[in-house]
Amino acid sequence: MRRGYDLRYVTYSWGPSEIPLVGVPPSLHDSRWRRWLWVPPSLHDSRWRRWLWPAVSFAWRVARAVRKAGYGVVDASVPYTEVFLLPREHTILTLFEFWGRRRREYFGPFVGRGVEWLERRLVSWPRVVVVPSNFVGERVRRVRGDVRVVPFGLRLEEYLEHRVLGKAFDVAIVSRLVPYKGVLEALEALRLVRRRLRVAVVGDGLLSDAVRRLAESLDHSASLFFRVP
Amino acid sequence: MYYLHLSTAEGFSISTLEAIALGAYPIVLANEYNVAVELIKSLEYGTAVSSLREATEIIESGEVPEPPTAPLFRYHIKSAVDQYEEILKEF
Repeated sequence: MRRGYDLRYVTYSWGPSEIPLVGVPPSLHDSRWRRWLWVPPSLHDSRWRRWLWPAVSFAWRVARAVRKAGYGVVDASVPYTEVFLLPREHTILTLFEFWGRRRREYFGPFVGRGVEWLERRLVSWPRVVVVPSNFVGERVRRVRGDVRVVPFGLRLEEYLEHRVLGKAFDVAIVSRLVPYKGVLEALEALRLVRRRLRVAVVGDGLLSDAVRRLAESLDHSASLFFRVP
Repeated sequence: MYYLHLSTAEGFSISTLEAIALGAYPIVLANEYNVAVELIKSLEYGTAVSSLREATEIIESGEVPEPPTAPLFRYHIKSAVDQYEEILKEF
C-alpha cells in the first residue's frame, strides 16, 4: 500500500529482504556460527520466556541506527526496550499488550515487579501510544489518557478468496506452544468430543513434545505443523 | 471449521481475526486478559467459553454458523493504515 512515504524497517537482518530494511546485526549473546549460517537469533530461554538481554542489546542497536539515519517519525514496537533510547518527540509506540501485575506471573515476583514498573514508564515516554484494542487501551489509560486505538488490519480480499476452498480440517489450533496459550487444554477439550475430528495444530515452542504426545493419544486424526515454512 | 483458541492472554489475537476471515468459527477463552473476546463480540461471531466442557459441546454439535463478511471490513488493512496516517499527520 504505497502512500508516498519513505519507509524503512529497522530490525534484525539475517538474510536478503524484499522490504526496505536497515539491518541490525544479530545480538552479541548469539554464537558466531549462528551469524555465519544466517540462523535467526535465539530470543527465548529454556522455559520459552523472552530473554531480556537480547531485548536490551537490540534497543541499543536500533537507537544507533535511528540516530544515524535521522528519521522524522519512528514507530517502535516489540520488544519495546528501544523506546527508552529513541527521541521522545519523534516516537510512536505501537503497543500490543499491557500486562501490569501479570508480569509477575511471567517473570517471577522479583524481576516481574521491575518489568511492571518499566512497562508503566514505557507508555509514559513516547509522544504517541497506539494500541490494537479497547481492552489494552483501557489499561494504558490508567497511566496516560491520550492513547489511540487502531485495530490491526488484514488484506481481507486474500483471506475471503480462500473461504470458498474446501476445508481440510474440522478444528484448527494456531499458537506458540507455551503454557499460557492453552494448547494442551484445547487438546484435552477435543478428547471429550465423541465424533472423529480432523485436527490441525500449528505452532512451535516449549511444549512441542507434550503437544505431540497428547495429540497422538486422541481418537482424532491430528496433523502437526511445528515448523511453518 | 472451528478455530480453538484457549489462550489466557492476548493483546489482540490476529490469528483469531485471520481464522474468522477464512470462515472458521472461533471458540476462545473468556478471560480478563484475552482480547480475542473483544474481537468476537465486535464481529458478533464466535463464542467465549469458561470451561473445556463448553468448548466440547460446541464442537460436538458440528454446527458452524455463516461467517460474517461486511463487519470484517472494519479490520481491513486500508482502515488501519488510514487511521495510522491521521496520527502521522500530527508530526
